[in-house]
Amino acid sequence: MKPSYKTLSLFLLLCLVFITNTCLSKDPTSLVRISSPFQDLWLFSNIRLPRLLLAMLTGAGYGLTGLLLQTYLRTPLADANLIGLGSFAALGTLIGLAIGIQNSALLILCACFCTLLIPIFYHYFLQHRIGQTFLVLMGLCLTTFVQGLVSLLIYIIHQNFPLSEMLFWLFGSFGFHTLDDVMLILPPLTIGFLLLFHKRQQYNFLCLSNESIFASGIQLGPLGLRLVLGCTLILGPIIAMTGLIGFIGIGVPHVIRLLYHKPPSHLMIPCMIAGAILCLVADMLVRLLPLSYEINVGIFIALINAPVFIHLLWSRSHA
Amino acid sequence: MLNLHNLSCHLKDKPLLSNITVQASPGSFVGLIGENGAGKTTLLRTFTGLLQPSQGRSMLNNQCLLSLPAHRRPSTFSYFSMENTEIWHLPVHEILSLFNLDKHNPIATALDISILIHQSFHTLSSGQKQRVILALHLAKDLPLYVLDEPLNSLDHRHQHQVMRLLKQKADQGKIVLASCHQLDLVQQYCADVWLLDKGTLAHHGPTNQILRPAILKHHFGI
Repeated sequence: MKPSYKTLSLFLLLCLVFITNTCLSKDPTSLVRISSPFQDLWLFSNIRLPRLLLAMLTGAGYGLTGLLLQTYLRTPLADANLIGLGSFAALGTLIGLAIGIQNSALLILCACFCTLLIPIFYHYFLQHRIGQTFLVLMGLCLTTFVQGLVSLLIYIIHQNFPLSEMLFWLFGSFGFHTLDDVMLILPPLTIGFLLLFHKRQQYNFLCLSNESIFASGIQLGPLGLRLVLGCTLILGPIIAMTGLIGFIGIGVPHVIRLLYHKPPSHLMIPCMIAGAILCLVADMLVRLLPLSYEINVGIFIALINAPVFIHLLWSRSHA
Repeated sequence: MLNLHNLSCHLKDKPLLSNITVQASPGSFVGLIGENGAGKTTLLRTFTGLLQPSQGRSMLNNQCLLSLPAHRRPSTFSYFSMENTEIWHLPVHEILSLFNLDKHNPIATALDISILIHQSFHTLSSGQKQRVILALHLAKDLPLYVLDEPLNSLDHRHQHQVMRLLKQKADQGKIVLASCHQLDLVQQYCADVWLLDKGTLAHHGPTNQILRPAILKHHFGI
């Protein structure tokens, strides 16, 4: 598959945004200044680079998983949070806080372990050959149940533990992680991406009826399980580190579909690149806004991108 | 030879299909008829292995369809159904190329696909969408074609055109099994008829012996 000029343009845009992000910083008087990343190599490699890498991995992960979940579940509203990744990770983090874990790496581990329950649930659902609509409802029920548990835990432990760390996590942020943290999550991410790219042509058959897919020799159950497992391995560690960042998984695939008019297997790389661009731009803007404090990137993405997306859909539907 | 033997399917304790035993030989074009809820779609899903039968077996040329490995299905049969069909905002020519179908293919030409190729699939009428999906299925060269209500959204001319294409397939030695409600077209094109009633095979045999006034009156009230 040769990359199209649109994909090459997106990739060049990603490079441009990455370089801009590394060169722009804010001085103590809240003014943006241009600086070379090599001026302070320690600062760059320990603060800026992990943040940029995490932002790109987050965007790529959300973009890709959103596209494939929307395709598999046949709903334009699907993203990783529909199968419960956000709420399971929140539950894991809260359980970690409740049992007194202070170390952030251990909290991440707790959240990751909790998200690994998702493929186990879906393995059970998919074994019974249930339809995609039923899967969506199951996902919603599972998410609602776990969100209820999260609220219950917050209610129980809020008097004994400071929840500022939890609240900060819920708002979503790319900061406060080292290069080692990012390296730590690369192995599961690599396995996750390989799982999602394995036999990617099969996603194209999901446009047909279930009967035709069956006759095409595609087993929806194993495909669904591979998809959920891939999503969990990619986004479990990412959500555990960055907290909840919404919208990218829903918005990016829609924009890329409008831009490309191609089947899903051709949209996987563009969705990853577009997601990475979106996160890098959002991270750059929250870093450079002339405020005395930094807004969490999760809040910023929700506030800015959702209206832009509504405008885009509105103008398209009235074109 | 397609051979269904004692095929039954239950949903919990409710019987959906009961003891269906019937054969279709190569070159036969079978019309599967029956009222709504008679079990036509269930029969098609069950004998191809999509639904788990509670008993019985289905064989195609001495190979069991129910235990057919997934990778051998695409070279054995195709299954047309418009239920849950979802083609994202793709132009028709992209869909054709996705399934390696040339716009000059005789099937695509016969179904007048060439005038649609620059349109986006989601802007087509339901009948036009159905023609595109039918072309994807009929362009394959397979021993068995299973079609669940292939005529439903089509106009009169294209209903005849699809039936002619299916008859051509049968004339080439393929087995074609299509469920439909258009009894006049079944009478005109199908050599054999399987008539389902409440999950049982009420009648089967040559069309002119089954589509008799007495049988039609009894099962369809017409």
